[in-house]
Amino acid sequence: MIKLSKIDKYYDSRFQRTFILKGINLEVNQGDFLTIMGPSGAGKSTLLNIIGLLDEPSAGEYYFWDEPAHQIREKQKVQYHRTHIGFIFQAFHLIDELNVYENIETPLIYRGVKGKERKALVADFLDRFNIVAKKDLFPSQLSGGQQQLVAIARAIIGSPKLLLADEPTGNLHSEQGEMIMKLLKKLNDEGMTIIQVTHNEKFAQYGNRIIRIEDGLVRSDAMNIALQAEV
Amino acid sequence: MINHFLKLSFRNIIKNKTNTGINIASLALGVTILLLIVVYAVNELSVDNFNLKADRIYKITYGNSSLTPGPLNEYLKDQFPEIEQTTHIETRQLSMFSPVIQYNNQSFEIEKYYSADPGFFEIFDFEVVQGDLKSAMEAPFSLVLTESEASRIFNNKNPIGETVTWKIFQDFTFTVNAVIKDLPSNSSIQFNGLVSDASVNGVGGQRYSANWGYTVYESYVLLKPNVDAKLLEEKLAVNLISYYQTNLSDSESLNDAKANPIQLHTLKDIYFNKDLSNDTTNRGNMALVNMLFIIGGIVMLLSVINYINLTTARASSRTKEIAVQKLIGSNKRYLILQHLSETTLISFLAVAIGTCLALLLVRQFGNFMNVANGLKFQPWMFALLVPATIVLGVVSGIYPAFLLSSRKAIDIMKMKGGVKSKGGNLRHSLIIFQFSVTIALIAATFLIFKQLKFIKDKDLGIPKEQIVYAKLPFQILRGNKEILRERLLAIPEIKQAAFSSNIFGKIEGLDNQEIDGKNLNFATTWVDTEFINLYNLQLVDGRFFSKDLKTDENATALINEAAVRDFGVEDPYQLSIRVPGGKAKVVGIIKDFNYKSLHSKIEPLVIIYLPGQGQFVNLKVSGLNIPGTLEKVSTVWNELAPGFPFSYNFLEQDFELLYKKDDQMAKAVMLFSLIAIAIAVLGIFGLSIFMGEFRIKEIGIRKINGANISEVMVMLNKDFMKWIAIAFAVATPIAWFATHKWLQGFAFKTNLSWWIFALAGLLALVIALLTVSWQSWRAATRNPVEALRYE
Repeated sequence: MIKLSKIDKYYDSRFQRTFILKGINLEVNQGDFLTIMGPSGAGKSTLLNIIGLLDEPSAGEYYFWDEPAHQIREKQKVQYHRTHIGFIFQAFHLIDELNVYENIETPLIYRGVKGKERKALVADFLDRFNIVAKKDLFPSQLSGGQQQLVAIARAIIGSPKLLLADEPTGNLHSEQGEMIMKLLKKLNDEGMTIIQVTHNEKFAQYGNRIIRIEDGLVRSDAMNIALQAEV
Repeated sequence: MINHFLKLSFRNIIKNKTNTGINIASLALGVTILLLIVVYAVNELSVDNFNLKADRIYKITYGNSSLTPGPLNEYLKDQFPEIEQTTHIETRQLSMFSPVIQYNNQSFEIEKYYSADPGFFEIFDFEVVQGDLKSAMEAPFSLVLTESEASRIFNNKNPIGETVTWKIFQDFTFTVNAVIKDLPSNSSIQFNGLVSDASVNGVGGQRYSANWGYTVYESYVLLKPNVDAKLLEEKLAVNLISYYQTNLSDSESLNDAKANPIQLHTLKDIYFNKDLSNDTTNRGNMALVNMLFIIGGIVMLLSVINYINLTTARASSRTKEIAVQKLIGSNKRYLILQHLSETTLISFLAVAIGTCLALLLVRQFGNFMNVANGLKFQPWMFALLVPATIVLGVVSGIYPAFLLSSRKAIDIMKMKGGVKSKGGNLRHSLIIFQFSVTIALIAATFLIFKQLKFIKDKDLGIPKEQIVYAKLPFQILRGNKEILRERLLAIPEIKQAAFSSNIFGKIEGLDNQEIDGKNLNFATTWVDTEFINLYNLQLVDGRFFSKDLKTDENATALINEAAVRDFGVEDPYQLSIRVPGGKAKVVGIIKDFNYKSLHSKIEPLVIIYLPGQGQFVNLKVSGLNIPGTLEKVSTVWNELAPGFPFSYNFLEQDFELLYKKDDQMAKAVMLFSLIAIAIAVLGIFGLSIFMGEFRIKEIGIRKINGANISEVMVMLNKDFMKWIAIAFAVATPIAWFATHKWLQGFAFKTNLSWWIFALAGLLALVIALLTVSWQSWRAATRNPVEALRYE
């Protein structure tokens, strides 16, 4: 359902062309939990941005749900962001001016979900994520882990098919990180396709497939043995 | 959806209190000013339209003069079926009455009274409170008062049927027969009381009301519906000339009818007519209305600019919010709507505050602009506030909305590297625009005040200091003038006393006479020989008329140099000017002096020796104790004319009154300059806060590397100084052009000195520097560690 072939991303300066990504081939299937690893500046985030339709490749072909992404117009991208993709970030990026309830509700408003249905859905999510008591608090009143929890709830309330996570545990201490990863794992078990970027070897292992990127090139791409063994 | 927008907007607004405060304050200021101007302009432009038949009411003028003969209105009503009703009002004969009336042995000074005929209330719709207006205007010795005038004299007593005593050459008793509501502020005719025409006739006014030769009335006609006023006007002019030809023996009136044909003017035309003379009704100033509209618009623009500047400056700090919205499914349209709802919310608050301020200030502003009876809000104006709020919100919000919403979702990924503030060039241009306007307004204010000072200080060629004049009551006019002079000269502080028919500084328009086949225009006054010395007239050629030559009396005249030039006659001494009962020969030419406003060049003046005719006494007073001297004059006066208090004027004040419009304009321009400065200051204050925060890291790094406070301040202030320098360059030619144009309205003008502009620029610079430095100082003295801690 996601297919990248020979994807390049580069910037031209006056004298030289700097490659961020070079010849990336990648296929992700429904239900995958893919971890992207690599050192700083390797191009992980750029790859994630391209997959999330935030950035465009300089060359190569990208098929998103078998749709040629290089041909998707700006307006359609908004539609895809509404229906297909959810994002979570290292810095959580909740809207500071809205409380927990409202943050989770916002994507539904943009999708045109009616008030009653919206209420029910948000209540359901608050319940599922165990944050009913926190619903009137603002992001600044929450711990990092709680913020990320809210961010996840917000990302998936529109039931996207793909969840993109950019170092979701980067700003969390390990216990909270663990909690978030377990949640992601659970979502994956329920059928959500997840692509995460991380530095953390331990959390990388939650994925069922790990690719390593270095200098814009895919160095390795392997099924997660440990996990398969578990299964 | 809309709830969601409003919620977000509201929380964003309260999050950044300084910014919101500045935005709302400057927008509210703009709204207040604009509202006040609109209320003022509406009042001006809606002049007289409380009259239901306003579109059919016309005022009659003879050429540029509002004065028409007494029999005219009856004649027009009889002869022309197009005319439904006529009326005339008059105040010159009333001025023969005592300036006080008596009620219950108490004296009340009276001001602004007219006499009018019964047609008056059939044409004009003044609201009656009590009594019958028709019979009140028909009965002799009958009064109609406004409510406040009635309560001034009669307190709480019902005024209907009460009588007052009014002295003319004997005591007359007037009865109050009707009371009307106080006049609307947009009525061009303003009075406190009306006297029925029949009463004036009853005290000997017939010679005016029945005589075509005297023009003392201001006449109005009400045309029947669908009458073409232009056609009627032509018809009237032709008809009157032939009527004068067949029915009037004196050729003067005929010439007058030819030279100054009868004209019909709508009430609005009259109100804004600049050239009208001898008019006693309220007059407007279209130039001022237009100027206020322009300035009001500019002030509003300045405050909108503040909003745009501060909002776009802060756009970078909202990158995250916008990018996140986009990621979770918002699109550009929603973001624009959301931002517009935020602006509209701010605009709503600004309009609400601005309206309250305007409501609080409307009275003061009315007084400031000399509006009669106070300026008021019309209820319908409040209905306009809703669309105004939306327009203001959209106008100020649309550019920031587009700028903000154009942020890309991916920007959020790049946030770690910091985001550049967008729209910088536009912001700088807008600041330059703001300061250009401010500098131009300051320069204009300086120039206007300089010109007014120049005018008031200019040597007119005649003395105007320590000259007091008063109108003579009938007791003195009837053969007691020489006695008065004798008695007054006995007072040591009275140096000179002279009689004249006109007062310099009060002469309006020009007379017109056909002399030797030439149409000559000139101002005249009839004087005695003492007048020459009192006003220190300077002879250029010929001789003065003399008391010793009996043949000079009523038969000689002096003309000024301007008359010699303008008349274009070979031998000015051949000229004979028509005077009551004969002709006056020119015997001398006097040096030019300014006897009118300095707006106009010196016009021809003819001073005629008619010692019996002067109705004003001119007094040259010396000594320090002028009030004491006037007290002595008053005693003499009361002995000769009991019941007619000595009500005097200073010539100097009359000359100052000539510049009332200019004073008005100067005041208005100054007020708006101050407000423009206030808004511009708010704007750069807000921006300097932002700059200090935006460059916090740069400041920190510079300080760690050894920059001292003054260097940091120079760095922060440099840009603002540069913008003001550019604004100065932009503003100077514009201000020069505008003030140059304004000065063209004066025949005598001050220099457009370079220092006016330099001073305006310097003032703007100092103000800006102080404003910005306050913030720069705070930014520069901050501990650099604080700034860099977050890295």
